[in-house]
Amino acid sequence: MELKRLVVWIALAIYIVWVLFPIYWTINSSLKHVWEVNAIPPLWWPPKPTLKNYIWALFSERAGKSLINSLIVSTGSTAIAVFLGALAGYYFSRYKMHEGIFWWLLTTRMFPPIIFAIPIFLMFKYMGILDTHLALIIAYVAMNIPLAVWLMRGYFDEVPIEVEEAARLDGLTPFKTLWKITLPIIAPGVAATIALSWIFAWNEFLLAYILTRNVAFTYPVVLPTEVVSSQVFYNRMTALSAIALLPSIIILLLFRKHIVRMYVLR
Amino acid sequence: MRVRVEGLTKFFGKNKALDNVSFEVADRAFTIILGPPEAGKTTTLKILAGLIKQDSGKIFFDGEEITDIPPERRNVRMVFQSFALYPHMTVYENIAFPLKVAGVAEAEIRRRVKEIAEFLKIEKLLDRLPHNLSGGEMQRVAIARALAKESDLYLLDEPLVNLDYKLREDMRAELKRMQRELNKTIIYATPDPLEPLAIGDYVIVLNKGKVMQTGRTMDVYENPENVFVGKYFSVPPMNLIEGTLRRKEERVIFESEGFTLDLTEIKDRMTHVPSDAIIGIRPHEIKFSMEKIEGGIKVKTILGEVIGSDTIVHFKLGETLVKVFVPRIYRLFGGEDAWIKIDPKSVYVFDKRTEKSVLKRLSKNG
Repeated sequence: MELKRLVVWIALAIYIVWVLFPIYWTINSSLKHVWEVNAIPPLWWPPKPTLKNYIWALFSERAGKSLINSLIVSTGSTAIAVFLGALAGYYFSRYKMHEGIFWWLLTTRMFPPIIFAIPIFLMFKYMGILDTHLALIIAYVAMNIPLAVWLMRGYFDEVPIEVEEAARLDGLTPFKTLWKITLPIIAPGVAATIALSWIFAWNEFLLAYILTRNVAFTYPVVLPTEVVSSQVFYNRMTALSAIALLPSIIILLLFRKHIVRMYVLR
Repeated sequence: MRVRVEGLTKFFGKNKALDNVSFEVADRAFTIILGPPEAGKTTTLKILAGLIKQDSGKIFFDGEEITDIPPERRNVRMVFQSFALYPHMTVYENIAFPLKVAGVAEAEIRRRVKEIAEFLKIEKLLDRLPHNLSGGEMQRVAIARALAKESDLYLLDEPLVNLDYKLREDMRAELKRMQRELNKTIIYATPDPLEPLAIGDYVIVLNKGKVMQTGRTMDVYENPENVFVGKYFSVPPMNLIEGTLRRKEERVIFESEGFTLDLTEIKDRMTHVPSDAIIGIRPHEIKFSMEKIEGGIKVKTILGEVIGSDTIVHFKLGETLVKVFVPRIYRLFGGEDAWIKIDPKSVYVFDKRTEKSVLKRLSKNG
């Protein structure tokens, strides 16, 4: 019994190191000078820690702007996707007759995004909105809606129809019932849906890479490009990575309970 | 408020939930919609409230058609079977909600909630959330929320079903008291035939979306118009025996396999004498004894169900299993000899083909 526990603990310890090591190495590298990053033997901690990489990541023309672009695009697309997702999810939850459309909607998430990337590029080029925030917001709304609809439908399913009927009899119109009764009841679920949509948009690389160039670029596009002549600025890249990690970590910690439940139950 | 319903029909998919339902509900009366599950009770109440739209048929409140008025403007109050409390609001907020929506002033809301909470003895629960309440407490809160806003029509959908036996008895008495004090029209749906007998002024019996019978509670109880009402609106259920009716000169004799009964005494009350008939006898109308009864029928017991200080004795009358209610304890194991006697005046006679009663109404209406 004791041996079994020991084995489990060792396995877990290995796993944790496996998972956390890249994060540790990111932070370690982000505090180094560029010539220390690839030193051999490796430096397990920067001899003279520096914050200049972070200053670059936050305030430089390219990196700083990419973070702001990412913020705009993630927040904008999440707001629209969750709003539309809530309306559609409500419909699918209350009127069960269109299961076919619901499943079809879900399948759009199963295809490799690169399949859509080229036609989207061509469409946006024709519309003249390439390299704008709007382009990325439209693209991310399209990709986030299936997720938002799926999650919101699940939350709406948990609110009994009779609670809404009681609200109607208490004097609310259908829209006010949704706004004042149903949405407040599932507020934690709405928050979790917002969190996941936001993280998805924040992390997205492929479409951002294809649809943006000099104006609307987001941080994942900037990240691998910090190469000047033959010098690769891993220290700057890792500083930007560390900053980009923060929102996801904060969101996941805040909504841990709801997000775990979401994955376990559905 | 008087309520009149004309020809309500409602389909859910292919399933006909209501089939041409018509009835009237008297002003300020306690009317009970009685019927087994799936009879259409909840659907009827929700259509009255405007929560479900009927496929055809009309509804009139005090003679005025309200079919197209949305629920938020009908001012009908309803207690749901599942209580449907707002889970994210405290008991106080739940009760206050309809008043808040109606734009009542804060001080008036506070006064009104306090008054209702006292009336229903839930003052101590006001700060709690619904998931911290017991079933009985939730039910009171649901009633309180329904009462908070004044209305002329209250709908109660099986409000006692989720409660335990003892609490149900108490609440039933309390509901009757409440109705007397409110003096408003109440329509109350239940599958339990005890409830109309205990508290209903009028009863509407529904089955499979159809109205089986309506009327004053005791009138319906004493004059079931068909086999379904006879059997369902009876505690314990009415015994039904299939057989044939034969005229022999001036006599009318009921014959079933291994059992005959002379019904000449009620011949004059029959509108006609169907050859294939079903007779119904309520379990407490059969005289039962372990000793010989003069002119009685000898039977062999099957078992005795002891309920409190009463016994329901099972035995076979010919080929039919019959139950008799005896107001004392008999610990029977089956196979004992016993005697029964049936008073023809207590027998109901139905035409087997139509399942309709062939008896004229008893004049002594309760």
